[in-house]
Amino acid sequence: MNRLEWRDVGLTRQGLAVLDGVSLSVAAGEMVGLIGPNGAGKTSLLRLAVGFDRPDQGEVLLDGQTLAALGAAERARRLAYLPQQAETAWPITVRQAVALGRLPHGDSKAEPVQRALEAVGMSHLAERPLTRLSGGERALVLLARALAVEAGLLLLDEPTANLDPAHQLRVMEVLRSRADQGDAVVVVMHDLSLATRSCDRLAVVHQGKLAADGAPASILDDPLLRDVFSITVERGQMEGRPFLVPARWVA
Amino acid sequence: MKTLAAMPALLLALVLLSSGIGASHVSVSAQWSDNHAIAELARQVVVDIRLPRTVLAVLTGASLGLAGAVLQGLLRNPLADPGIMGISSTAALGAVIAFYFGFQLIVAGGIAGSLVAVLILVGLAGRQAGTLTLLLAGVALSSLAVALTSLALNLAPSPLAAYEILFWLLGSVADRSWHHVYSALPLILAGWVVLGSTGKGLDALTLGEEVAHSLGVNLVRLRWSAVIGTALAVGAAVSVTGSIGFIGLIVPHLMRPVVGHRSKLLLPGCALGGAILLLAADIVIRLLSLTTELKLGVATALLGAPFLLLKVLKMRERA
Repeated sequence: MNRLEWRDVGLTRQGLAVLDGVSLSVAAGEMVGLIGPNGAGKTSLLRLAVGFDRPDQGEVLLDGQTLAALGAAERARRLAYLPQQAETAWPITVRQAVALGRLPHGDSKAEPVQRALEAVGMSHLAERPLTRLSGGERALVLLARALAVEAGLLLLDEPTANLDPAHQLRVMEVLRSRADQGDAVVVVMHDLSLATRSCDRLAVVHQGKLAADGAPASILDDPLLRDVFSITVERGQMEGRPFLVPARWVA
Repeated sequence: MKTLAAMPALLLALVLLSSGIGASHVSVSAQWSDNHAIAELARQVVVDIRLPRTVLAVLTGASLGLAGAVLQGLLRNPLADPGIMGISSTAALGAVIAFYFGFQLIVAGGIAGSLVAVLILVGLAGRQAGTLTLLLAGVALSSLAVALTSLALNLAPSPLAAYEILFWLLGSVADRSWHHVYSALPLILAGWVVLGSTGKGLDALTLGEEVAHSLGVNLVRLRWSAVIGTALAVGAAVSVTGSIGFIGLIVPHLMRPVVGHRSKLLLPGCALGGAILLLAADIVIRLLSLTTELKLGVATALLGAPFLLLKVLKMRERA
């Protein structure tokens, strides 16, 4: 069963087509990487799914229902979103930040918060102010905030940006484990090697259109990488999964 | 939590103290004197002069503290304050304009004035204006409102009218009657209810607008609640007390370290803290035996301006 589906969505901003007829779906237990060059429309796709923007064409379906027909609270319970920009206005504690994930449920249950903290390995820092964490620790805590919603559908916009390799791998491990436990995960990322290793499927967005959608090994062929990303790659195998490393920039 | 629980008791103690001091040396207990004339005089002094003043200090202080906390939370900006942002002075201007048209309209004038100011400021901030833009806009609004109020003072038809206008410019709870309390009270209370409804949304906003939206917070409604609540509470309060600054800035800064950053405790804490601070300031100016009583708005500015400078200095150190 599809948890989330973009059905022929189009979005125009100031006369320019940001998205143009994109159709994509994500099922429970599936981890889909949304990749593409800067400005391709990846974030716009996520924002449509969260209801921040409305499509000018097509529709977004959440559990088979039109997103526009769902109330904000209902949508918030079924979908957790981690935006690209990490903001912290006040020095709230780690536990308080993660507990904000319970807001859509109107409860302040301790168990989901604790589960989320343990999932990212941050329970030992639970009482520390969010502003006194390293960038990597803060990224894990903000991820835990999204996990605490327990929506079963996670949309994450570049959760590994600006992180050191260890924290990047920790974030991807947490997401992989959520997908293995039945969550639907959509993750926007730029690191092709990390994306090919971790995701079940990759959806390539290019100039507002879906350029490719499928298993990482099969879709990222040399012509696509050249046309969409303007790069050549070196390929390898690790733990039975293919991975690739960008080699050269091509004009 | 313990501090929050102790605050109502402190406020009550200050209310009793405030009822016992003033220009005339009349004690609260003199109301129950065997001498009828003394008892009646004491009742008039305490009930008709000191109590309205005390109640207005509490209502205004609470409104400013609460509005300050909500505006800081909404704009995610620790320097937001009804005074600095020009909301109080614009409300005072509204009241002064209404003053020319008759007494009944004064509270409405104050509310209209503050509504205009908050709409301009939140409109600017909604387009992701930084701290600097917001403060500069506040400075401009405030300067304009003060200039126009001063113009009204300048052109005042009589010394009595000039004195009244000066009162709004300086801010005071002295010589206020129950009539003033009753005319502002319903709107102030309505403002508190609206401001109080913003708590959960403000908590979610700690992590930014996108996160708050994804958690089901209606950002449009949240902004309007903050705008209308501030306009009602601050506008109505200022229309009867004049422009009193800095309470909304100082109180949340004092309360955050004590009660934490969650609205459930922070908002009531700031309302109580604002009431306590303003009433305490009003008691202090009455205890200072000056030939002319210091105006409350002048006192809070003397207290608040150095505090703001200190905050700016701290922010510069951190930057």
